[in-house]
Formats: sequence, structure tokens, C-alpha cells
Amino acid sequence: MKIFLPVRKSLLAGALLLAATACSKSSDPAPAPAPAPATLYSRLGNVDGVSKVVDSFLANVIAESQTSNSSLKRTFNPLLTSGNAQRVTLLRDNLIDQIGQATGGPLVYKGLTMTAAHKGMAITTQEFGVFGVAFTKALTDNGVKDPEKTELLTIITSLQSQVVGQ
Amino acid sequence: MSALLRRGWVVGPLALLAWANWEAPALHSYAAPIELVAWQVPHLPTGPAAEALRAHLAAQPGVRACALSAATGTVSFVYRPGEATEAGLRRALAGAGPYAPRALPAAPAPAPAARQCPVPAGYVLGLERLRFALNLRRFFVAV
Repeated sequence: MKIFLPVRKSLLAGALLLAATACSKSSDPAPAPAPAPATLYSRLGNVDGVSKVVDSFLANVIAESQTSNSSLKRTFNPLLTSGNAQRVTLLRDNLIDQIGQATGGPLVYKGLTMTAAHKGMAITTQEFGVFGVAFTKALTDNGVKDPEKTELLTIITSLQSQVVGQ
Repeated sequence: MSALLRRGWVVGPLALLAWANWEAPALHSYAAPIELVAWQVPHLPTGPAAEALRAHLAAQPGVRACALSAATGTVSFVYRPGEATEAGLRRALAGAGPYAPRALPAAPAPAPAARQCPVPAGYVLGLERLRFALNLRRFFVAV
């Protein structure tokens, strides 16, 4: 009996191993998970693409705000006048962070909420619309495709209630 | 306690490292710094010629963005200070046609309507750059 016990145990282990192998071979392999869809952030070109769009937007704002009746002048001129170059940099930084997060980027925007940032500025709907035109031009100048452009402008437009009339 | 006092010089750098690494870095820290310049340029073209001129100027080395407005007679550049200079951009503009850039008329900054942050913006930006340089988390983020 003592001689046959290890043999029985090994036979049992071998049978279990065979059964396990047969089960794994008979079942269909699990399908590979579908790749995650590319985020808007990556489709825009990651941090370089987002920062180029923001830089184009700032260039457009500067160019357009030089007339006395420009709708952008009232809101942006305090930033653009001499001695405030670093405040423009702060605006640029906040825009990059905010657009980066809103489009699915890896890092978080840590600035003020839109309501708090625009409090007291009394932005009108027309001024917000002109901002949108300058931003759309920035997207076009950087070759952003229409689907991405629409998606990003939808995100920007959703902030209107937090910006206008504060 | 005596060991800590003997090694008190470690506390400062460790505190600095803790401050720098407390939060994940900001996305804008990965973007190269830029400078802006704008000039008044008379007789700018309109239509397709304006777009062609804009594209030509935007393609200059170091230029991140260029905008021109015939309506306001303004050309503005956003450029990387290490790769382009104002003088170089002036030459590029002059070389693109009969465009003589002039400084924009000085516009006095209006009095702020709301309370402003008392800390100069340059200090805030300097602290941010220091924080990013010491932030080890930035090596673990794919941007």
C-alpha cells in the first residue's frame, strides 16, 4: 500500500493537469480588449498642439484688439499693455492647463473657476462671441481638423454661462 | 533629537523637495516659454495674400504663431526667445515685402476694476519654474 500511494497521488495530479489543459484548450481565447479611443487632447497633438493653439489665439487677440472699437480691447487690453507681459504668460499658462484637462489630458487645471476668474469683468455675449471667432481662427491656422475643432468649440461654448454676465 | 539637530541642514532641502513634489506638475510647465511682440505695419495685404504672408511668417524658425490684421494694421508674433529674436522677425517681415514695422502706440494701462493679486506676476512665475525643476513627478507623466 505504501508503495502504491505516491503512484496514485502522481496519477491523480497528472489527470488533474490533463483536465485543466484540455479545458483551457477547448475554451475560446478571450478577445483582445479594444484599444481605448484617442482623446481629443492626443488628437490635437498633446501639449505641443494645445500650446500652439493657445499661442495662435493670443497672437490673434493682440492683432485684433488694436482698434478702439474692438470687442476684445476692453477685456484684453489691461493684459496686453506694456508692463504686463508676465500676466499674459499667466493667462497663457492657465489656458493651456484648462484646455489640456478639458480635452482629456493627463494633468489637472489648478486655477480659478471660470466664474471666479471673470467676476466683475461684465463680459457680454458679443464679447464672448468675438473670443470664439479668434479661437476658431487659431484652430484653423494650426490645421486642426473639423471634428476636433467642433469638439473643442463645444467645450468652450459650454463655459459661456460661467463667463458671460459675471 | 540630537541626531536631528546634528543633521538639521537636511531639513531645509527636504522641506523644499516636499513642497515641490506635493502636487503633480502643471501641463503648461512642459510647454516652452514664449515671448510676444506686435508692430504696426501699414499697407498689409488682405485675402489670400494676407494668409500667404501669415503662413510665411509663421514658418520662420522659432515662431510659434503669427497673426496679422489689415484692418488694424497690426502684425503680432509669439516666438520662442531662444530660437528667434525681435530683430530677426523684423528682418523676416522686411524681407517679405514693403513692410516697415513700427512700435505700437503706447497705451496706458487702465486702473484695475477689481482687486489684483499683490504678488508680482514675475515672482509667481519664478516660483512655478523652481517648483517644476524640483518636481520628480514630472518624470512619470507622459504629456
